Amino acid sequence: MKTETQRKYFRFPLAYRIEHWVMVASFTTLALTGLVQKFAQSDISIWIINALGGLTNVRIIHRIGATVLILEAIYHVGLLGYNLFVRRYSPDLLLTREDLRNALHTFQYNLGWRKERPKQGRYTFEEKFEYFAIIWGTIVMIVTGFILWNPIAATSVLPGEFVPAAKAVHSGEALLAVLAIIVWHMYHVHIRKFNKSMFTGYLDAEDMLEEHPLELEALNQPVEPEPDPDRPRRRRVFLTVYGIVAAVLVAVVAYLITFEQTAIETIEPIETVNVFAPLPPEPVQIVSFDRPLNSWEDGVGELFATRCTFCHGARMPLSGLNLTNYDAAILGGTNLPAITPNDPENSGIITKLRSGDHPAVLTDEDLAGLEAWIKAGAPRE
Amino acid sequence: MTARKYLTSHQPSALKLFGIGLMLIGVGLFLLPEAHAQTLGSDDAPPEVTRYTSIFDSAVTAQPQAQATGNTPAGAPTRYTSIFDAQPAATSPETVTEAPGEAMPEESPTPAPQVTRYTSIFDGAQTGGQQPAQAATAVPQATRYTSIFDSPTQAQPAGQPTRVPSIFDSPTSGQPAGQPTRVPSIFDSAPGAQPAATTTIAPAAPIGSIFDSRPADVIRFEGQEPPDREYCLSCHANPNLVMELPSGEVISVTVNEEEYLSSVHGQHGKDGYRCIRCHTGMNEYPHPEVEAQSARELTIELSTSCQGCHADKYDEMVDDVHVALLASGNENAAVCSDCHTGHAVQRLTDETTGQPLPDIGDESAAMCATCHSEIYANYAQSVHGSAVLEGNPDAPTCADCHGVHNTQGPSTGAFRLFSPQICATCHADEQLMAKYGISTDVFDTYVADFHGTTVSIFQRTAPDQPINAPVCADCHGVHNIMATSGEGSIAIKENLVATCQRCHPGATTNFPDAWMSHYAPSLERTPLVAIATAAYTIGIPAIIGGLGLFVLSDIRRRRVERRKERQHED
Repeated sequence: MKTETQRKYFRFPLAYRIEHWVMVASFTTLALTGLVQKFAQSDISIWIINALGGLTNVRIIHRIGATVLILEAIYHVGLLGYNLFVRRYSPDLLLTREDLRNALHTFQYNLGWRKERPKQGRYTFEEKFEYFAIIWGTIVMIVTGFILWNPIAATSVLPGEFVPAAKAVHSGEALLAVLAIIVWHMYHVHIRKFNKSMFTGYLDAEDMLEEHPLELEALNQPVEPEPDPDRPRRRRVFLTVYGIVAAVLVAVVAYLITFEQTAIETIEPIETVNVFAPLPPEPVQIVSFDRPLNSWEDGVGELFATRCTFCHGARMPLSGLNLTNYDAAILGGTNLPAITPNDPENSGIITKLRSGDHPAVLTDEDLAGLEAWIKAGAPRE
Repeated sequence: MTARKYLTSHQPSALKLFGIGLMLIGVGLFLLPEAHAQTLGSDDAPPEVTRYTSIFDSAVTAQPQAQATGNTPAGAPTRYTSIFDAQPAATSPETVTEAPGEAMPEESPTPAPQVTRYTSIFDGAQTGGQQPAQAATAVPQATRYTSIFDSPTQAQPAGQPTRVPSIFDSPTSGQPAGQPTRVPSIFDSAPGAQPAATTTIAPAAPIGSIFDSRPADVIRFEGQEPPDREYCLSCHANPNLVMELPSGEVISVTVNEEEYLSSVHGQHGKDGYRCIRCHTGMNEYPHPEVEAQSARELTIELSTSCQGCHADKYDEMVDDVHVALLASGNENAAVCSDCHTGHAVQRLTDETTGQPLPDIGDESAAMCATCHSEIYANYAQSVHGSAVLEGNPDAPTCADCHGVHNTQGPSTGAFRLFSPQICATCHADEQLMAKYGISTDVFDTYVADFHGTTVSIFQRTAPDQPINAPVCADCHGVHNIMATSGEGSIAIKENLVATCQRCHPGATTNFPDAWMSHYAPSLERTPLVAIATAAYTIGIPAIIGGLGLFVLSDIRRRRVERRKERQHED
């Protein structure tokens, strides 16, 4: 009896185990790089995105994970076909009414409403449930993921609304899958009892007895395999057909990876406008006196009062020149005679202003009027 | 309301929290042990939001926090390493010594906190050599940029004989008086009280000034009373007073007294500020020769005198794009008087609150139009601009989006990336938007969408990176932004295709429907999305709950069995 419980039963060949771990790698990668985008507001997500080198990297990694998962799915379809068609395995992986009953009875047994745990075969209902959840989830994720990866191609056939709908499904299904793995897979294979068969390939007799009693019975009564002379032919046919199908599928995947460039990679300028477009500066205005300058009393005195006496006034006669009254104006400044009647060439007012070396200016008309006044003898009245 | 630091979705749900919690477990299980430790560590850290310096953070908050948490991302300091960073350190002794000066006690507060504010992380000396590399670069920067924006007093430390005296030097600057650090100012009150002589006409002999080309008529103020406005206007009220600059430009040097008296400076006190308060050095006649070669140079030179009283505004401008442009040698960059004018400076903020006055929108936009006339023309037609020009105080004027005195260059990656927050200041304000019947869902729906999610992630992971994911302005426009209803608006489907095609050239007529137009999923508008969302919202808890229930039942069974085994062994 002791030797019986220590005996190990072969459960998963190496190819199955490699497939499983490829699946684990791609699933984890996809979940991690996808959920950080779903929960983009979370600090943990931001931390992970930073750790992976930024959002652009995260999205590239996500697509690499997706490609691996799709290739794995293509391989798995081939494996199923080979097992069913060439090896003639019984389709004991399919969900049957028996599984539903087993589930119900197990639940009832767990609650103590039933004395016996239902006896299950090679694949328990727990395993089948998980298997089909993954099949379903993978199909959903590949279809919706394709729409999101190629939204322009998708909307050339489908209504635009399929894109946000695909996103809702892709994101919801992702969360469902991750939670199912954590609650169901983690519990049954790691927490409830650490199942080493996916690492070693073997399950010991105790676990076999508890989880797969019907399979154990069958294994303990080995039957001589019937000769199968037709197998090489079936194998040839299958490998040919599958080889062609797989080659086409892989080619399609390779094509679709770089199929669509959804958006331009440059940043389009939002507006094209001259940033610096200054308004023209206000021209310097020289205010014209614009009245006849007949005599000191009629024009000239007032011109001086509004243009000149700011500086050449009684209070602060610059250059000693006081232009507030006729006599002082004729008297002139300390350097030059300001007004020499009849002789504008010797009148400082005219020469100084004409030279351009004077801060205040008069319009040409006013200056000409002033010159005419001096030429006319600079009359007081 | 508080402006959101980051684009965030406001759709928290039990599901989301549940998901985050499980993700935490998942991360712990799947990732390296260090990852787990880091996750726990970040819980103790201050909220993530404070770690990333936004362009909208004022320098005050951004720098100390970055320093405190020690989490400054490698790229971040460059954003705040302005050329002016080093300057205030040099300024502080000046302003501090000036504060107790008698001449203008009410105008030079220069509070101490400002001094500490900018001497934070970029000053090698204060940080005790924590960043020696930066300290080394900071020192040459300080000397290199002490040019135009320094007030004349600080630009000339005591022992620099090589410097050519400037027209802005006060005439007494040659005297080795008892104040070695500070060049005596014309605003200093007299040490010895002399009768308040007005002005005296000096004898013909030249006195001192190197600018005296003509020996006659030198007018100096021998007393301590500086020339008053009336004195200056005795010449400068002349409507035809002009000056020719070496560039050949002729500028008017006439002062419109009426305009000045209606300005905020002209209304100060009983009689307004004196002219020489800004036109420093112009306290004698003939005036010192102007060094500026062109009208633009003269404007730039004169604007430096604003700092004397408005040092706080200079501090605000430390990060301003105009200041940076000017420092880089672009003379067209705006200086104080380009916006505020020289003599007609108007009050734009409330005297007590410091907030912008409500009715200055159009004036302030017109200020910007002086240089940005093409943008202004677009803006004036936009939904915002037309409202502002009609006197609507709610609609944004230039400064509401671009800031004043800390205007950011809009061509940076960071500006683009964080531009949605600019829109959010008003469009996330429910009270304000309700007034105009505009939904504030626009941000939640944007963040929920692929575009907004991308932008929100980049804001936190690569805040300076120029990204091509669209921000508000890419679809709605910037200065020419239109209402979303009416002719030409983007909400019309034909226009929307064109909008999409700008970034998605292959987009067909179905494509715009992939964008849910800022609407949350609903059965009426987007039934597929609504059904899918509802299915998973209900389905996930139902399925996972069912699985969990089964697991719980199994746990119960195993405990019962173990108890039985133990009893059996006993």
